[in-house]
Order: sequence, then C-alpha cells, then structure tokens
Amino acid sequence: MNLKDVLDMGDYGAYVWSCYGLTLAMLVLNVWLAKRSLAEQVLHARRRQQMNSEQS
Amino acid sequence: MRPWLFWPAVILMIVAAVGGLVLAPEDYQQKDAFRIIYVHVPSASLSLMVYTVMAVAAGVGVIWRIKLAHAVAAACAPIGAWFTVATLVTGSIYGKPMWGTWWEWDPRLTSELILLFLYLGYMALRASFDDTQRADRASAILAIVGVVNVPIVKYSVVWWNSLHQGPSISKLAAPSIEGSMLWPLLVMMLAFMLYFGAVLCDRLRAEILRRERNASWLNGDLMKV
Repeated sequence: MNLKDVLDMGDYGAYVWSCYGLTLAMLVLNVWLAKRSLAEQVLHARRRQQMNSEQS
Repeated sequence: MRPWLFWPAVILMIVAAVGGLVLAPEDYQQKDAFRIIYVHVPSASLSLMVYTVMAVAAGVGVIWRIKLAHAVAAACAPIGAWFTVATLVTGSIYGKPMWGTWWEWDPRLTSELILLFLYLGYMALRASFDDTQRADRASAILAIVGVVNVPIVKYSVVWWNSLHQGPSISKLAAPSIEGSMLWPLLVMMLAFMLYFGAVLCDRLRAEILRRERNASWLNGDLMKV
C-alpha cells in the first residue's frame, strides 16, 4: 500500500479522512475545554483564598 | 492531565490508527470506507460507557449522599456529550457512502440522538440551579431515568429491523470480524478509555474546586494546573 492509496482510500478518502480529522478535533477540543475549566477554577479558588487570608 | 493515562492513550491511538488505516485489509463489501469504524465505534462505545458511569455515580450520590459521586457525574457529562457528537457526525459521514443518506430516523440513530439530548438536558438542568445540592439531586434523577436509553441504543440493531449494521464484536458467539481488522478496533477502544480517564481527572478537579472553593483544606496539589 503506497501513500497515494492510503490518501485515496479507494475513492472513499474524503469520507474516511474527514471522520478521522473530526474525531481528532473532538479529542483535542475536549482536552482543551477540560484544561480551560480547571485553570478557571484554580484561579477562582486562589483568589478566594487570598481574600480570606487578607480578611483574617 | 494525568500523564500516565494521557500519553499511553495517545500512543495507543497512533498504533490503532496505523493498524486500522494501513495494516488492516479492506472490507470485501464496504471497501476502504469500513476504516471509519476505528473512530466511529470507539466513540459510540464511550458515549454509552460514560453515560453509564455518570448514571451509576449519580445513583451512588443520591443513595449514599456522597458529594464526590455527584462531582464525578457532573464531570462525566460534557465528555460523554462530545463522544456522542463524534458518534453522530462520523456515523453520518459513514452513512452517506454506505446507505446513500446522511441521516435516517432509524432506531439506532434516533436513540443515539436521544442520548445526546439526555447529556445536554443533564447539563442544562444542573446549570439551572444556583444551589449545588439541589442541582445534584435533580440532575441525578434525570441521569438515572435516562439510563434506560443505554440498552435501547446498544440492542436497537438486534431488537428492530435497523438500517444500521448489527454488532461485530459484542456477540456471545465468535466476533464476526477478522483478527487483523479486530485488533486495531480493540486497541482504539482501550485508548479512548484511557483518554476518558485522563480528561475526567481534569474535569473532576475543576468540579471539586468549584464546589469547595471556600474550603480551608484546598491545598497545593489540587491547585496545580
């Protein structure tokens, strides 16, 4: 199987590669969203702790 | 991200993708289009598995009043919803060359769409409460009631005359798929499970921090990004 065959996928290339591309995009997006949500909560928690320590 | 879950998942995904795209022989009927199963089937399995984890966690949270179980359920929902979206999108792209249509109101497709609505409904219901405890209880009921849809999705192709093809690997008899085509699928499913674990850890930490942001026990480990 040469590179052209792999890319063409017997004329199903557009269907096969778009599925792999979209799935990869979903996997990357999920990681990014989880990281962003964690970073947001860490920031909130740090701020809150700082405020609490300043008050006490 | 837990590196001991995330990196093995990435490596196994690459191995399975090479196995599925290059090493596996083409299917005698579906030709090379069958290679879509290596992303479609793991996404679909995870969409059901994550929902089951979510419903069990919600059930544990309701019965034994464990806050952490509710946090697990809440952390599962967005991940499961994305797996369901991936299943529907890749399934639609798979359907066009195989069935001649992007969408059909078929039992398997419709029940998978309902699964997406259950995830979205669960998240919307949680978001509609300011009080976390009330959000936990109300959303848990929805998650538990909705779990009835999981076997419907799974067995829809057996119970009804579905356009969707029948099960290939989860049969009591021998799998109706050849070994050289089967191993990349199993490796990809394992990779997706590890990936789910890795993303769940981050989502769960975020959820715990959101709930306990005033707690005095929050320490350095939880606060690391």
